[in-house]
Amino acid sequence: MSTEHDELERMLGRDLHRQVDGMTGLLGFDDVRGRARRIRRNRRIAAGAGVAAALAVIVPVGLTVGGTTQSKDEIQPAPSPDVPAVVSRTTLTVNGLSRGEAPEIEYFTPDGVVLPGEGTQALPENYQALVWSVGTSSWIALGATREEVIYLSEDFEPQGSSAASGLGFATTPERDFVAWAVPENGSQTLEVRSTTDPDETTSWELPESPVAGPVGILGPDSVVYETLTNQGETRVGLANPDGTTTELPYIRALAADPVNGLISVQTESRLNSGCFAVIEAATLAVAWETCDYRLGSFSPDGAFVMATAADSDGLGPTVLRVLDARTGELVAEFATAGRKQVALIRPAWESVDTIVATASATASEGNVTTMVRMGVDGTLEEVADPVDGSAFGDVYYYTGEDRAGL
Amino acid sequence: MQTLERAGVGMGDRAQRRDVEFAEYMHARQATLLRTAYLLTGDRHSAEDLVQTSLAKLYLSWDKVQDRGSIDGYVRRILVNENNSLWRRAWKKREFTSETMPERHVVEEYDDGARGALWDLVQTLPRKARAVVVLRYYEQLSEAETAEILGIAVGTVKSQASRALAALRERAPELNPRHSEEER
Repeated sequence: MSTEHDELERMLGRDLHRQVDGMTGLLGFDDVRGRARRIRRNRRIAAGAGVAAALAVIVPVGLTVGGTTQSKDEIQPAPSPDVPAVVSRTTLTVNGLSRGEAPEIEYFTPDGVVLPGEGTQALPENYQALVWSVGTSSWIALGATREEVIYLSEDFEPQGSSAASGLGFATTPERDFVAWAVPENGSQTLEVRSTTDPDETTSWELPESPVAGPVGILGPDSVVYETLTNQGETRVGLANPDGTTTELPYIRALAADPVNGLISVQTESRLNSGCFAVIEAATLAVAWETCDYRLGSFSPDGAFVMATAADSDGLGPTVLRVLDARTGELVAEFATAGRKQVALIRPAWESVDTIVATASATASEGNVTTMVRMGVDGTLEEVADPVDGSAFGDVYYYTGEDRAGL
Repeated sequence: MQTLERAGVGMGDRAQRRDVEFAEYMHARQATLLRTAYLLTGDRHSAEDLVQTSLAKLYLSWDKVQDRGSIDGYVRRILVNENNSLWRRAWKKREFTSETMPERHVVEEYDDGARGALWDLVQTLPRKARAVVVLRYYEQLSEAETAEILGIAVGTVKSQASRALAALRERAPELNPRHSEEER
């Protein structure tokens, strides 16, 4: 039996149908995929900002020409991270690994760039690094020779370019700032560009020579840079927006951590090896040093720094270590067993506790190149399809140069 | 098909297969989603924007939706929740929660006079009540299905639907079936 309630429901259903019957959609696949890209990028930026906000330890470095600090008393050391008490040691291999989720950072292949969740996107040419600029909905790319920065549309159409020094292309962990050196008629400037707000882009004067390039961004007021003379000598300095610089007494700078205000540097060079240190940018004091490890980049939260053996044979690191950034204590180690060799190429921090790298094995391991994810808890998994090719061949996969740590 | 070919350039088989699957689903269901979105938002532009965002979010989650049979429910949930989100509410110029009636649509010749009247009233309902009405009486979903999509209890769906119908009756007594019979 029909009730008045049921009748109203039927009338309602009919009326709603009348409003929309015959309505068709016009969206194309590219429209939707384009929107998906923007959502994903904005999520990533929000996630990065969230990490920074949660840690709340971004330190204004505020260095002056003389290397003294304007805000020494304001420096608040980050709380000690929860470092695992037990050192994990994992055999580095490319065989028999479980398959993990695809990398959450972009990486390059001969076909283009592989973006998280978006698959391979064809590029007009090979790039060394690619950074999304949410403020302009466009890409900033470092050219293959590192002597050009290319501006690309959202769909990777080249829109313009500017010269780069060929040395360095640095980004913050959240990639809200990117920096490179621009050579100009006998002078050079440091371009520090905000990827979120185009109005925040600034150019800082650098010494006329030798040629310079940024290594890491400590904050909006301080960038670590290296110089390279014609004789092949490198020097380290700190640049400020007002054009002042501070030279530091180190051979190389490897990376900078804006969260805790730390810089990894090389202090001494020996035949095929050297000594390294982590220094505090605010005081320029050495936090700790080692001649056992070659240091690389800091994790996005500044808790860890990646490292490898101090000696190097040019093949690429065959061992990767994760150290406590504040103390230098070993947290995790990935090393090949016996005489087998797997070289790690461009290891890059994917998250606060994972590193991804190209892993390329020699004949004894099957001449395979793949990508692996290494966790600070010692986990090791494969994150891309393995391809034929040893460490001596062309690199099939590679992470962005600004992310690479060793 | 040019679009699909372009999507497949340089991709591995897996990614290409995913894009093709998704594009097929989108092609098949877009109109249905747009109709629901229109009833939720009340205007074509907002509806298209809502569908595009919802499909984009579905695309990002495509590999995670293992059960292809559940995709309709999944995307419907995205659609409704996206429409209800605080961001969208803040962004929206219009919010139909007032007692004032929106302008009536033009009545076409074959209309029995009641066409559009209920629709106009539906647009005065609060957003969540309106979502219940659209899912229950347009999509013809059960109370349990509606509850699952909206993430609320079945009892809440019942009470929301009942209140919505009562409000419609109160605001337009001439649409009450009993009222029509009494007039005769």
